[in-house]
Order: sequence, then structure tokens, then C-alpha cells
Amino acid sequence: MNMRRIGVPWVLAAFLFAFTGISETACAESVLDRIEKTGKVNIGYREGAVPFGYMNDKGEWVGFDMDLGTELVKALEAKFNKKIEHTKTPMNPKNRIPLVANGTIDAGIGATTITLEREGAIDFSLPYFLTGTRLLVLKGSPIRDYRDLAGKKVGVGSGSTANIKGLQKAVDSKMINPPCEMVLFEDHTKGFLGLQQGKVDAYFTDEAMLAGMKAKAQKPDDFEIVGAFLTYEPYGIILPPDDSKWRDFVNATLIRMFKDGTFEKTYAKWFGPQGQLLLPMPEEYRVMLKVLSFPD
Amino acid sequence: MLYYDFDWSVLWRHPYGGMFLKGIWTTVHLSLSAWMIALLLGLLVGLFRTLPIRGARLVGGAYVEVFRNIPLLVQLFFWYFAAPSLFPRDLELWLYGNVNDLGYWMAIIALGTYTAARVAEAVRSGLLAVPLGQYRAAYSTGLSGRQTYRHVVLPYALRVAWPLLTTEFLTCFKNSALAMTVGVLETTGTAGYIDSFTFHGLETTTAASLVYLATSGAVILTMNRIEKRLHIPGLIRRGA
Repeated sequence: MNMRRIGVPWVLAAFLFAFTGISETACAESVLDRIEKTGKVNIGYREGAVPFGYMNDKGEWVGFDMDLGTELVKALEAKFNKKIEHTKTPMNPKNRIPLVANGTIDAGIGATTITLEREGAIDFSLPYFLTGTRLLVLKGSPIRDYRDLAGKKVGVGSGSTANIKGLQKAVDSKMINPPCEMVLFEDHTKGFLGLQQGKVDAYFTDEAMLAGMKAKAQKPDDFEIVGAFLTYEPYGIILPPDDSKWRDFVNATLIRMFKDGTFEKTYAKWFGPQGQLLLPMPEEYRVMLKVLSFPD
Repeated sequence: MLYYDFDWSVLWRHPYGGMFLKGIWTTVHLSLSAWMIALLLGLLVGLFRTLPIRGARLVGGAYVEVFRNIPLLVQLFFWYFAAPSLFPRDLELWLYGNVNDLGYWMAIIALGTYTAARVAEAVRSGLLAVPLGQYRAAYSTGLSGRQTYRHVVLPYALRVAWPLLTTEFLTCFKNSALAMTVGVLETTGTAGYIDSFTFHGLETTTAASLVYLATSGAVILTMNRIEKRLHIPGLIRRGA
């Protein structure tokens, strides 16, 4: 009886160690070739990130990222000159990278910041969106900038690692001194509740997300977004690693959209005056798009 | 086609190794603190349920029904998200402003009060297992009601309830993983946290599982030993 109890963990560990060898067998076929053969593409989108991917009032799954995905499918159809079946798979910040890494989805378009650490697990397309981290506070709060966070409580999403690292850096460099206390929340919705209750003095994440949280509040005017960008957060499309054929195709599609105005029209649809969320394109973002408009 | 490179060094590499140890340590003191509450409160409630006083039995019964029949996760959310709002607003804000790691303390309260209901049932079953003759014998030697409980019935009942209490302790230890939902970085929470930085969730989850297995195994071995010593000869037939 006791022997068996002690044996189990070791069997489990040995089993998992045995997998280490299997991972070397990378798949040679490009995702692009497979799409041509099967006529199917599976793309992951967010469900709760206004307006990147979310459920609208009518219960339809829509968003800025989804429009980009649709453009990508159109480009695939033009290239192969046949109908491509577009499967939409829901993903969240916790599973988006594993879903691409294990091949469940061919691409993940979901407000994902490009980081070097993430590049180790998967690949990214060129950046298509640029935002930065700021603070959401109650209107009239004494907090105007990061220095004012000294000794205060700041909410962050536990999966938002780029945000956590940025804030930690500000603490380490004594920009926030004495340090603030980081309060982790499972998702931004719970964090927003914490801010409303007074559990945290400010909530810290990408401006695009904060603007979405504010817009969904019962009284959006009770909140304000303050502080300069602490870090820049360029978003990219998550792609399987070591598949340059597929990555080149996705990048070429993005560049074409940057150049022919499709991208700007899509941006205006979601972030313009008639859009879901008013977020004028910052100058840095404009420059980034111009730089990425590589010549033919 | 699994694109996954195993990297076990996330378990000890700086800064993740330190995080992981801290997470295990948090699991230990969180579940032990909750167990202290559970044991004291559970003993009291279990006793209430067997006292020859109707009011006490009602109070004890209500406590067990309420705390045992609501899912622990819901109770945890209640303590963390709702309970502070029941106080006057000033006190609520004072609480948020001056208590660090509110999630940690609320997790201890939630886990402690929930486990107390289960401990109470273990204690009650122990008390009910004490043969009536023991009470009569104690009273007949001139002991008062309190003395009877203190010197005869309770020690006897606790020895009977011991295996059940071991189980409840292990459940409490494992349930502490739920504290991650209110932002406490205990073992499971830390495993997920390191995963979100490194994308090596298989390794961290395996390590977390091994921590729970090893700790539970050690507790079971120790408790079995104590159980053998505490066993009341002739009361329960030992399993083969």
C-alpha cells in the first residue's frame, strides 16, 4: 500500500521526462501548404477584449481582430483561388500561446504583446497595433502619475506578464518609492470591480484595455485614465514557431493592408468617432505603420 | 505535432525557483492557519451538536448545514468580494487600505470556517461513538457534566475521530489551492504564474502535483503511526 503511494509520483515524473525527446520531432509541412490542401484555416480570437474580440449587444462575436482575420482569409482565397473555410476558436490570455504551440489553431489574433520571452515559445507576425500601459483611477483621485503610486495598491491581471514586469521595473528603479503593493486579479473584469470597491487605488494595464473597461462601466465618466505610457505594448499575431512560409504570408498580408488603406479603414471602424471605443491613433503608432509599409 | 521543449530549469532558475519555494511555504502556513480555525471552531460546533441543550444543537446544526452545503469557491468569493461591503463604508475602506494581502486573510477565514463544518461532523460522530456506559460510569463516579466531557468523553471521542480528522486536514491542505482565485500565490497559483511568464506550464503543474502528493504522503505516514498508538483496542475492528 505505502510502496504504491510512493511509486506514483516517480512514474509520473519519468513519463513526463520521456516526452522531452518527442518534442524534437518538428513538423516539416508548412501551415500554408496544409491550408491549401484542406481548404480550412483555424484562427483564435478573444471573447472578452472590447473591441478586439467580444460579444456585442446582439450576442454576435465581432471585433477589430476578427476583421483582420477575415482579411487574412480573403488573401488566402485570392492566393489559392478557392473557398477557404474560416473556423473561429475562442482563446484567452492564459491559453492563447499553448493553443498555437500545440497546433490547435493556425494563428491567434488577440491583443497579444510581442515579447522576447514569448518569442521563445512561438513566433509573432509584424506588429499591427501599438498601445502603452497607463493607469485607470476613480475621477478626482490624487494619483496622476506613476510617482503617486508610492505605497498605494495597484491592481494588475495575473496573466498580463508584460504589465507586471513593467511595473516591477518602475519599482526597482525607485521611480515608485516606497514600492506599491501589486494586487493580482484573475481577469480585468474582476480587477475593475476591485477598483470600484476601493480594494485598489489604481488599475494598471494597456490603455486600449483600460479604455474598453471604462467604456463598459455603468458611468464611464466616474473613471479616468492617467499617466504617460510606462511601457510600449506592440501587438502581434501569434504564429507557430519555425514556419517562415506561413509567417511571410501573414506579414505580406498585413503590409498590403497597411499600404492600401484597408487597415486604416478597419481601425476607424472600431476606434474612430463612430466606433466602439474612441482611441485616436497616437503619432508613434502612425510612424510604426509607415515604417512597416515595406516596398513591393 | 507538439511544439513543446521541456525545460525543467524553470523550477529552480532565478527568479522562479524562489517564487516556487515561497508558493509552497504560503500553502503550508495558509492551510495550517485555516486548520487551526477549523479545529477550534469545529470542536466547539461538534460539541454543540451533541449537548443535551436544544438551542445549542440547533445552532450547531445550522452552522454545519450552511457552511457545508455552499461550495467552497462561492464562500471564498463571498468573503473576498462581498463580506467587506457589509461593514460601514469607512471600515471597509480602512480594511482595504490597511490590510495587506486581503486575499490571503480572507482565504484563511473561508477555508477555516468551511473546514470547521466538516471537522464538526467528525467530532460529532466521534462523540456519538462513545458508548452510553462511559457517560454513566463517569457521572456515577461523581464527575460533573463538564468534567465528564473534559476527562472521559472528549479524549475518547477524539481518538475515535482521529482518522476522519486526518482526512479533513488533507482536504483542507488541498483546498488551499482555491486561494489562487483571489490572487494568493500559493503552490498552484505560483505554478500558473510562472507558466504565464515562461510558457512551461507542464513542468510547473507537474512540480505542483508532486508537492501535493509528497506532502499528503508524509502526513498520511505520520498520522497512520499516531493512529496506531491512539487506537482504542476492541472498539473498531482493524482492517486486514
